[in-house]
Amino acid sequence: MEFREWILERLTPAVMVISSQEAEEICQEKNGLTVVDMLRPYGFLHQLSVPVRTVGEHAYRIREFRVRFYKADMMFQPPLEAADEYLKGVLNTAAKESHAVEIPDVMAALQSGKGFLADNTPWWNKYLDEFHRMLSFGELETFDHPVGCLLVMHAHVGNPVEAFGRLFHSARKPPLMAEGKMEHRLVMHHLLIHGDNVQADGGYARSEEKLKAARAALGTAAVHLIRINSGKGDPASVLGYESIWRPPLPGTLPGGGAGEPPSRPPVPPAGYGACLTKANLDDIKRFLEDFAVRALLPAMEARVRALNHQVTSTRKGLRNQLKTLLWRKQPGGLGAAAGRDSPRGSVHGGSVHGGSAAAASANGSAVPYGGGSVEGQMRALADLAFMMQDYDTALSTLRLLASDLRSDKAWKQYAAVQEMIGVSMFMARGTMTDVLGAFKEAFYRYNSAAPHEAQPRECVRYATRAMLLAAEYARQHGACNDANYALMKAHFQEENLRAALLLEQAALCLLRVSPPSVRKYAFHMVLAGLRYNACDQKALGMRAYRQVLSVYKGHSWAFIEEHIHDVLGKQCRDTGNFDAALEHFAAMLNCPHSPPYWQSHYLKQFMDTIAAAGNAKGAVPVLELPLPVVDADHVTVQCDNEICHGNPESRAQPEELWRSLEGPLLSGMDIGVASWLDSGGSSSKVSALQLNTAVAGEMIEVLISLGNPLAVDLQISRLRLMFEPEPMPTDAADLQHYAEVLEQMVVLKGGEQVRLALGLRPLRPGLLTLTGVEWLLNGNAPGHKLFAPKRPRHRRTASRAATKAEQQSQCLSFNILDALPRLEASVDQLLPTMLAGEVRKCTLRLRNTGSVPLRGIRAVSSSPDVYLPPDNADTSGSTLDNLTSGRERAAGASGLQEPGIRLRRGMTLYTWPAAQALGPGQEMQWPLWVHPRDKGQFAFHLAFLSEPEAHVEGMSYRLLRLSHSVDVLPCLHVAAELAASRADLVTFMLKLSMRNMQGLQALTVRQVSCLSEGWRISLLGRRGLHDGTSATPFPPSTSVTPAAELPAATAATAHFRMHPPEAATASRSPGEEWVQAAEGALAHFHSEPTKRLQLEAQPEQQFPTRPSKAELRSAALEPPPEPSTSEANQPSGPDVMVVWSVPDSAGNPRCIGAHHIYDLQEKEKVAIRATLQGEERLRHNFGHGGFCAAALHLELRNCTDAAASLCIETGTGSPSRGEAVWRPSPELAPQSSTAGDSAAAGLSQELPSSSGRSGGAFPVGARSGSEYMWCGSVRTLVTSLPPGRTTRVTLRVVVMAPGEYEISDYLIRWAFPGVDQLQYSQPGPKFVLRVVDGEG
Amino acid sequence: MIVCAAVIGQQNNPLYLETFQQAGTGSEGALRFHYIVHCSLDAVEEKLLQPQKTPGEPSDAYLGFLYPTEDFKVYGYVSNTKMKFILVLDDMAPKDEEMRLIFKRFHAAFIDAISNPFYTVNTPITSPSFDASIRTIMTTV
Repeated sequence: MEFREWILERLTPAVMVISSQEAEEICQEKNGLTVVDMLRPYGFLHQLSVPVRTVGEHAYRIREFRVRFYKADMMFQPPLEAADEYLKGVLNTAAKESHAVEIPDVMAALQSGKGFLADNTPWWNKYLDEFHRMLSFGELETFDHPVGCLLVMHAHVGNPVEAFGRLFHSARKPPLMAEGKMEHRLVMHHLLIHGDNVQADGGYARSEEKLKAARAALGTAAVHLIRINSGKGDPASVLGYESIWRPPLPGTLPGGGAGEPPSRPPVPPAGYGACLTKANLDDIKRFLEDFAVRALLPAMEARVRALNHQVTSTRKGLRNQLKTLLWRKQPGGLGAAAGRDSPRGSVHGGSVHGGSAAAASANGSAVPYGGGSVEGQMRALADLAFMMQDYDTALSTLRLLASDLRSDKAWKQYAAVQEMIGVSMFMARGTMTDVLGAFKEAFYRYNSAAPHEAQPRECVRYATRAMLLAAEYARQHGACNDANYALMKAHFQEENLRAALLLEQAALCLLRVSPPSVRKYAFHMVLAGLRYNACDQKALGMRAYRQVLSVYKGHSWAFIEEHIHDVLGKQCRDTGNFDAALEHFAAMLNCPHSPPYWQSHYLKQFMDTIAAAGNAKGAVPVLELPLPVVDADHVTVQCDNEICHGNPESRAQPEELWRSLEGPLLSGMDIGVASWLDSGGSSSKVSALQLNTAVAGEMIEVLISLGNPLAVDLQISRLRLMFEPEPMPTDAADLQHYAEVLEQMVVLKGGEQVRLALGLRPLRPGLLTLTGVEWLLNGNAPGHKLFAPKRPRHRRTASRAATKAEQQSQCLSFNILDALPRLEASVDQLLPTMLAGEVRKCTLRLRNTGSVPLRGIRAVSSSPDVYLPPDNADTSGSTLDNLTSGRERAAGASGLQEPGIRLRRGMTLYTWPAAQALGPGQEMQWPLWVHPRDKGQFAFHLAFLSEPEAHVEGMSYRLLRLSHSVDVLPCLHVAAELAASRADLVTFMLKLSMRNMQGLQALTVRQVSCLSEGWRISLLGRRGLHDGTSATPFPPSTSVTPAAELPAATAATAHFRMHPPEAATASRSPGEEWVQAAEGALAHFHSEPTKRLQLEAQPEQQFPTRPSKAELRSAALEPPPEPSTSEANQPSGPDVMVVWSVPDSAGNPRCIGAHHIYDLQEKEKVAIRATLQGEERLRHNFGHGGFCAAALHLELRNCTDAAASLCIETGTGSPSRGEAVWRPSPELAPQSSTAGDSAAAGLSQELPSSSGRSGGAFPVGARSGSEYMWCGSVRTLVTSLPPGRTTRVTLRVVVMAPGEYEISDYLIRWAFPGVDQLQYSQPGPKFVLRVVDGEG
Repeated sequence: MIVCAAVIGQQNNPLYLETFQQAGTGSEGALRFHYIVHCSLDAVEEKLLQPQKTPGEPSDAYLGFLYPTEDFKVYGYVSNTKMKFILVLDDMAPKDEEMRLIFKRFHAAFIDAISNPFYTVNTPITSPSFDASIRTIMTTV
């Protein structure tokens, strides 16, 4: 209601009604209304135009006028306690209806811009009305004092005039009137009520006669007759005007008061006013208009003028002001004079007035200003003038009175006057500052007077009323901050109930501020809730708390949220609303900010409530529990559709890798790639994108993260996935027929975070959606968390392969297909750690775990270091058994359709015969050789393809991905050097520098094999050297078995002779072999030149990003890489394989390895190889002959590809620098002291000197140079030596004395006339000639 | 006497809130200050929305007295990065210059704390050294 309207309704003249018992009965019996109730609705008179003149010269017109009617004996203020009790009852009733009022979401309302301005506190308005009513009829103000008296008598009485007299004198008057504080000389009016239901003689005509008689006696305008109860009172004839009586009917107090009787008459069955007809109501209306206009207004007008006259004579004017100034504060001074001067003072024993008031106030007691005192008259004048709508007179009078009361220090009265000044100023359209200032002053003065009063709480109530007026005024005029301030000020002094109401209203004011102070609102609401709870208004308290939850929610103010949930939870629990209590307690559980004690307390509180709810309802609700923290936004689905993952490692590999592996498998198959040209609507494609495919009977796994943010341990049991099949079965028990859900249990330690895979096995084909996860917290509290729904992506963004895979891993909806075959594979006997170069035979087990047979298995391995032999003969037996040479090898039970086809990038395709089927549960074993060559991590990936034996709709093939990774430790490091042998013109010396890179165990080099076409290898030295038989050189063969042990972390060097194809005239026997080098797994690995493959792969990316379909097809058909054509011109060097073993404690080989050296090339290329041979020891009798001649044979071989012309020059001296020089190989020796033993055992006892020259080093003191002489021509020419051919040139030397001669000063020059014009030269090989005197 | 100090982040989330009251400490006392500090954010926003007295002049970080509660007075300070510093005082009526100085020291301690490379921005500050330095600043007043 608008403030001005409210004041006009509230501050209106009051009329005291004294009615006879009979008149009351006539009204109440038929209509359920007292006389007062019946008259009240007609107290509002409008469309008037009554000219009045109060204090001024000019008259003004009153257009609207309200009259309030009260029963005379009920015109008193109820006692404080009774009033509070009554107000509490009012609020209780209103609070019960508060459930019907929706709790607004403040934040949503504010954000939407709609605001939160609708009145959602109906209990406040009811309380406020009653609160003001309880404060009426106080002695501080007079606007509730009656201005007229209405005597009501039934018209059937014998002599109305006498009866009126008796009624007035016998009636109980208002208590204040009896005390003389209320004006008792009132305008009297008389009303006769004729009840048509009363059977009386003469009827209405008789009553009219009585009216005439009464008018003759009391005055024409002072008596009225109305006729009621003309209706029959049956529901058919009711006018339907009941609503005009019902709303204004105020509540009653047990002892009466505040204008209302202690109780109300019973309501008749047909409602209030059942027997009142339209004519009756018109009667009442006419009477009241007459009464108000002709009696009440003139009487009030006259009284205002009289009072004004008195006040003017005593208080206004210069003389009176001076008197007030000089003598007012003197005890007994002006007050006595005022008392004497007061015409009323003497009447009512005016001993109480200003002077004594000042004295009394000094003592701190209340100051009653009687109606007869000047102050009382001024207040009465002001209030009357206000009611006569002469606000200026009221205001000026009040101001004058305020100054007097201020000087009297009568603060309570002063405050009441200030309050009225505020109201008057508002009505006189004063400024907001002035109006609010007056109210605030009133509030302040009421409070300051309170401690000195007998009933301080009364003052507090008045103070609150002043602030309520201020707040209402400010609120309606847009000053919501001021309204909030006023209400907050008021609540500090008040008891809990009123304080709570005030705080709530103060909070609501803050929402109307621009911008809304939401946080302050929330704080005030919380305080209001606190106060409500303190005064046992739980419903309103909960409501206050609930309203603010949205303000704090999700803004990191955890302590506050926790507090609100705690309060709400406890209240809900106490009221038996366990569902709501659990929700609130659950919201408190995620409290990592709280100390551990509180965390466990909250947990216990929640668990106790769960138990209580279970006892009360028999079932515990499933809540969205915050514990454990489930990351529902990042859920990864792992399910096998046409692509199956054999082990977890395979999921970690990039999709591109698998696509490159699976390309060859799928080539030539119809893999169902649809293009835009294919028929079918786009919607079906979109839906196909959004659905994952899974197979009935196969596990779907979902990876979720669980976290425990608390410091206390959490036990999570029955952790499982939730799902919804489509269509959803009506009975929840049927769900178990759709899928089997695996449950897990986990204990989360404080602060722990785990990632778990939850499994679900669909049992029926159809559509199925995973909706969330549920669990049981600490064994009793069921909780669930729904997965965040994934929005479908646009097709363009979902087109990339990686995006599609990602989308599939997050899609929670599945199209479940009927049972399919499922190939599972595992690699047994694969160790997690291997040595570099180790060769290990593992077992590949292929199983069909599906329920349908499969066939057409194909596999692709990613690495050339993994090998599947063509048949499965070697499935049993150890690695060594299958490698040992000379064993009897039986044919396998089954074989591949063809041996492995080498593809690009080292991949190999293996195909089993298409007819070979694998029934359900059947298993196939196959040997799988693994040979990691380099240290570090060795990962190999296998992709298998299988097809169902019978066609299955929806899936024509299935792929299996298997990925393994092995840590490879360094083992043997081998460096090889090849150098031309100086003993002959053909063979080469192979130097192997080997180092055992392991720090712990020794290894044995068991075999060195040369598998290149035509090349052979042999040990140095001679066979049978030690057993005394004739020593012969070791025959060249493909393998030698040096059997040299290499202790941990040592190095050794070994030398072997390599026989190129042109020299290998010896037998082609493999020689002594420890393991089969020429066939089997070792031969396969040796033939895979990994390094070459790596070089090939380097320039491009690791995997092709998106191989085209054509590329995939061509990949399968690509022939194995031929030896590079560019290298065809250059003869490739020999390849050498070093086989080693690591013995176990018993000395048996624990593991076997192989080191491959490819394409060995000479360290320094020699174009012309030469040897100088002759008789090394000559005996000559120098006494007989002068000199000794020796013939030396120089063997020359052209090792180039072009024909060479040679020239041998003798006697050239030492070789000159700057020319191409043949240097002898440096002397080779064991490189470490520890290697000495092995060298002694045969590895290094041979040096790369000529095998024909035992002793090696040149003898000390050998003579050379000029002591021998060359014979024959200085230059010997060989005009053309074709490539690869050998020629012999004989040279002669002559010596003059016995001794040792180093023959070296000759040069070999050559040129390639067909190639270039350059000339090359090298010194010839040295030769030591020993000449002995024959006589000696 | 300063009874509570708080740092509020850019999203109006509490980064640090500590009470220094001898009596009434404990969860209830702390809770009350949580409410008071949260409530003061309205006043901070209100102050920040007020137009500058002289246009173009750099705005003062010190916001001054924000609002009174029943027992306390709340003062505010806002950095250029919109970090809010709130101090709750009991009956003391300090001079503005003193408060300005305290807030500057508070701000400096905060800068030191967030300069820690192990601190994640916009998360509660749990550094004991920051707590100690704040206690020193607040109790020496």
